[in-house]
Amino acid sequence: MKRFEAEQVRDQVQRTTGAVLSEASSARTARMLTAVSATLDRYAGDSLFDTEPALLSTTLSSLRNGSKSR
Amino acid sequence: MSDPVHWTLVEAADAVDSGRISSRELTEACLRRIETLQPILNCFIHVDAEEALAEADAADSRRARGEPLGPLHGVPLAHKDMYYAAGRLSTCGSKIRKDFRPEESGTVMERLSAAGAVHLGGLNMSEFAVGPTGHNAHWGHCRNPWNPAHVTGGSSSGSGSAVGGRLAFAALGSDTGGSIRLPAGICGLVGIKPTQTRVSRNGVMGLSFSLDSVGPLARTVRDCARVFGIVAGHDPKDPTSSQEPVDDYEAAACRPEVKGLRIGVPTNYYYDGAADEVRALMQQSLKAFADLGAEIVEIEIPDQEHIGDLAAATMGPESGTLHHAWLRDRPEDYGPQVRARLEPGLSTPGTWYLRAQQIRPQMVRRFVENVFSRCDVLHLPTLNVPVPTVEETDLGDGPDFARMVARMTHCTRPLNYLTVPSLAVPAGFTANGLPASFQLAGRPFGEALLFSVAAAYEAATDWTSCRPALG
Repeated sequence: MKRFEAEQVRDQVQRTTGAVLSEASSARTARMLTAVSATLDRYAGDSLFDTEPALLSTTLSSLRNGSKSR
Repeated sequence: MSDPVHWTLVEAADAVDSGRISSRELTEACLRRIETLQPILNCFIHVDAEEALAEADAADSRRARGEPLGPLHGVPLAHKDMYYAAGRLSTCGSKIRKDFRPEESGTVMERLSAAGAVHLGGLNMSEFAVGPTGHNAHWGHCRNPWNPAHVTGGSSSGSGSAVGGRLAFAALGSDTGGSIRLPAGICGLVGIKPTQTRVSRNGVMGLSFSLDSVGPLARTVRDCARVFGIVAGHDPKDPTSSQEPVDDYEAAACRPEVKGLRIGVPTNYYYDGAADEVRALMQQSLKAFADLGAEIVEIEIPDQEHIGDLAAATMGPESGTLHHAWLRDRPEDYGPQVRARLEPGLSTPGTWYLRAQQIRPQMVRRFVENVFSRCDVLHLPTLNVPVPTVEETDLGDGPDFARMVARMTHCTRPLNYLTVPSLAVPAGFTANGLPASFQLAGRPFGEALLFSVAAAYEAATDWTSCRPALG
């Protein structure tokens, strides 16, 4: 699992966006990034080349109708 | 005649339509109640009394001329202060936009006006719609009508408080992680987070355009269905809004339906950390459904514990991009907790953001096929602990705030990433006297069935007719 460090996060945000994070905010962000990274790794195998964000709309329409019980 | 502020929206609309009361009388009744209760509830950021009375007079004139009347004709509503109406203040609950007056009206506001609604003003909200409790560092914390010491839920805090307190007949909220369902559930109301693309977001402040949903909070299932039916549907000004046909939601709410349906109950995730008294109330609501002829089926739901991370990878870059310049140039103008929640979005890699988007259709399909092959409607707690007080959740950006946010949004947040509709329904009261609530979730665009099932429960239990002791 990749682990993110608060100091690196703080430096990277300042370099790329100009915003200055506090120590506490950098630490929280590093924890968030570590967790998200692990989750994305978990679902890495699910990705297909033909899966694009735009497919969400057609996916929703295709899932609209299901047979109700009774 | 009983005090009209306690009527349901449908009763109020019928009364104006039939001439039993004028829109001006109804609007004045709401304005009197606002004057009395605003110092306690702090649910309005601005009250637009003059404009509201002018709209009411125009509504009365149209009726007098015999013109066709819309389904909300002359009925006073108020909305989270992020729905743009041309020339009217829209603060977004912030200091940064405290003087913002949009040049154009949003589509949903135009649709409500065309249906005859009167607009009372802008409702309090969490700053920029970030925050599940209703705290606001700039405009003051919003208070729960059932007990002002307790939170309203957020981010549509004023929507929950004003409708629950009978200051307005319904209100729009917005929901990115629970922001309609939490204040609805916590203030004893019915509120719908629709399928993510069901309602236009044109002219609505964005937080995370992949997760934001627009929907109403109201006192009864039918009231909620009526307002939702007016705002739902494709809008050319919002190309992301769905072109799927719109059902007749109010008709569904008038056609209670449970017998023979399978109601799913999760065996994992949603009851993690749940309070015993909330579990008991959820069990009672399931017994009511069973008594009405539903089959209760237990379901293990895939992926739920990981959805929060995928939602964070989606919301972070979207909200971080919207707020980037302000976070860089005037960070001190944000409340501490809002700033702390937006800042992580500045650091999420673009590839992660797109990965979360790329995985999403598969996650939605897996969830829907897995869950709704085994049940018709999923029953979940809205908040699985009793409603906390304003004081115990007033944590700013201190060390415990992230845990509190996670606790509050535990049961609502996954459904935003999964896009599916979810209706919050009152389910009784915990020992502290505050409302409890369950969610009914369904297939994409399956809102009509949710209204139908909720209406059956409402008729059997009548929690929605309870009202807070505010006078």
